[in-house]
Amino acid sequence: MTEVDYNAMPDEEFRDMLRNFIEKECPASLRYQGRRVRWKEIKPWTLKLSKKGWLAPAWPVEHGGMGLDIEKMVAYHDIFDSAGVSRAPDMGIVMIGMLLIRFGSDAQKKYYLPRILACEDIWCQGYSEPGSGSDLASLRTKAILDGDHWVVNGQKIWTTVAQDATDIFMLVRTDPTAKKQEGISFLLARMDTPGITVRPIRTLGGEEEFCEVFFDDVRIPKENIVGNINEGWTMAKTLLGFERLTIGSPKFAMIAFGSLKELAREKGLFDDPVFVNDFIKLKMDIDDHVGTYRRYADALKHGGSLGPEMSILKIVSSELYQRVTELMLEVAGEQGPHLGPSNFGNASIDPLGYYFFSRPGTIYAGSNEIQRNILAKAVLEMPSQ
Amino acid sequence: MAELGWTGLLIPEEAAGLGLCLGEVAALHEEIGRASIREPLVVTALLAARAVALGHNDRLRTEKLPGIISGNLTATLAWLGESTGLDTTNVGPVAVRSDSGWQISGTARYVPLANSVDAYIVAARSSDGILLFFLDDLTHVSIDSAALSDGTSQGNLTFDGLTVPPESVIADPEHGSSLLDDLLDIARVAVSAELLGNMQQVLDMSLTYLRQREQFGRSIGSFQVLQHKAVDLYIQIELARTALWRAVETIEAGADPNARAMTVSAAKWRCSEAGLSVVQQGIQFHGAIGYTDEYDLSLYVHRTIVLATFLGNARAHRARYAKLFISSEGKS
Repeated sequence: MTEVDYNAMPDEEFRDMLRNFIEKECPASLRYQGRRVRWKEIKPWTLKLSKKGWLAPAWPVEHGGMGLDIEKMVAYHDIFDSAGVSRAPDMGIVMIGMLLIRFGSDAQKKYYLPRILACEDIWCQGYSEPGSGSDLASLRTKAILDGDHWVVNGQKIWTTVAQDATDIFMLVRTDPTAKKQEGISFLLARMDTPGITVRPIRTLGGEEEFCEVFFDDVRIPKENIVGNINEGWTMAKTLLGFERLTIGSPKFAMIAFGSLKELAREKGLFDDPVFVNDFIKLKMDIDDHVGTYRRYADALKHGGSLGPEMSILKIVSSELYQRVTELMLEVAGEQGPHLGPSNFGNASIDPLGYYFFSRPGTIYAGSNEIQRNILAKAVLEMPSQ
Repeated sequence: MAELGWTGLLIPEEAAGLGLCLGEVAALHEEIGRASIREPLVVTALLAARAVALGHNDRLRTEKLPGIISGNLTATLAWLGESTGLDTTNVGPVAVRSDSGWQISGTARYVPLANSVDAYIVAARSSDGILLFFLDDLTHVSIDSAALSDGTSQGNLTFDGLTVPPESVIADPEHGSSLLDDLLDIARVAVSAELLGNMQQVLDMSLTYLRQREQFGRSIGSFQVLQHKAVDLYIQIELARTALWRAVETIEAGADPNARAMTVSAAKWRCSEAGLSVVQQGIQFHGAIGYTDEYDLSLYVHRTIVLATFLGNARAHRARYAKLFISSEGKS
């Protein structure tokens, strides 16, 4: 448990502390990467963060987190984002850990939280199914109580890095007769439980970034449910709330923009008026997105709440990220379709990797079309369809 | 508005102003935009009154400033030459030292309210730098005025060897350039705020219309294609709000002229571009009634077109921002 009160630290000192640590300890291979890095690559660095007690900025101190207030949270993400640090498989930290802290039983907290912090357990999220994407509440993977066990049958898909995970948290249908949102529960399972099969899926970018996960008569201990039976949907919605600030962060667009700038310098593109026009539009859009992100975070700091306006951040960040990578691919010229990094002057950049890696952002975590529906309804108060 | 003291918002209290900060000015101008008030507050208060207040001519400050602030003396700023650049290298009129002071020639273009004011603040280039003059005798000045979309006007002033006494100098060549840049950038913040108010109002009007208007037996606001377009405008407005307040905060924190220029250009670019997008889509949302001049939306359309252009349009501000960004970062 940490003894430092980070919230009492002057902002600049806090930022310097993180910045210096990243500069010293985070290898270049984990920075400014236009792809999702796998657990084995990022594990050593993640363990270093874990040892420092800096893995869980949002967790309360009594659970081994940094207990940061919103101001320090923004600073934390700001430093990691502007240093271009890759994201470890952090579903345990940002999703299930947060959920357990809020809704978990004492036994669950005591067992799982330390294991997450020590990087012993790597979690993946079993939400989407082949027939249930944007309409997630229509999910059909079912769990039936049989003595002391839930028996799970069904299939999850688009499960990010499930092949690296030791554990999965998932939404399953426990009451097929109830209204669709009301018959869903939240279950936890070890990935090595008999009956679970993982099949990685290769993305356009050539990476095995997500998987299908099959459940055939998988027996899960009864106590592996979080919260009450049939109340999983409400909790899942709370989780999406935790995720949205992260998902709307300017991080990816900024990292890609850093590479675009490097590429432009190496190719002398700042003398090309057509490029400069496109580039500056992106730069100004990123600035305004960053400003809006901070403005909303500030509102949180002053006691406001994060409403559906947060959908704005998700829309803007994912679309900006795509625009940056589209320009990068274009100005890479003949090297655009190169698989993997290629050399531009002294720089090694992977425009195609960036381009593909930016595609799913407008699809996952509530597609941008769904986000626009949310904003139209909840903020602009437009009539139902 | 003069009675309320708004013409002296940014003028220190000891010079009969209200001594408020830029944030308050931005908030006021946002409301002016929302109400589509076409009073030339930016011109009189932020260009003319501030020029006299911040210049170093004590006599003019004593004699003329109270009149400008009270609204009895209307004044405008004339500075821009042939080019459409945004900084003081684009000053049009030329001043040459003469026996009895200065002789001004050349043209100042696109001067707001050129033919309906009592006095001019004129910026002119000399071999030593830029000067600002106060002129209220308009003989030897020819004015060629044009009506604008929103019912206001602007014009070109041509000076034909006009002789001006040294007592009319507001800012000497040492200070003229920085003062002029300051006046223009502060005014651009207020214009951006007015644009923000305009777009907010147009979105609100559009949403009300979309909720009420029925076709095919349902409110047209229930159509997803219109909902998503409305959301995109809302996002633009949120970004514009961010850009505007970042400019205000940067200036209030005492930014140097380069940082001020970048943040002001970012705001004026965003607000001009977003403002036009919002009125354009607003017309489409309203259908045929949106194309009529008698419907209130037209006030905002006309006003936005003028404000989006005034003191530099989106393109000009993007160009200034690009130049500053690339000179500071692009080649390092």
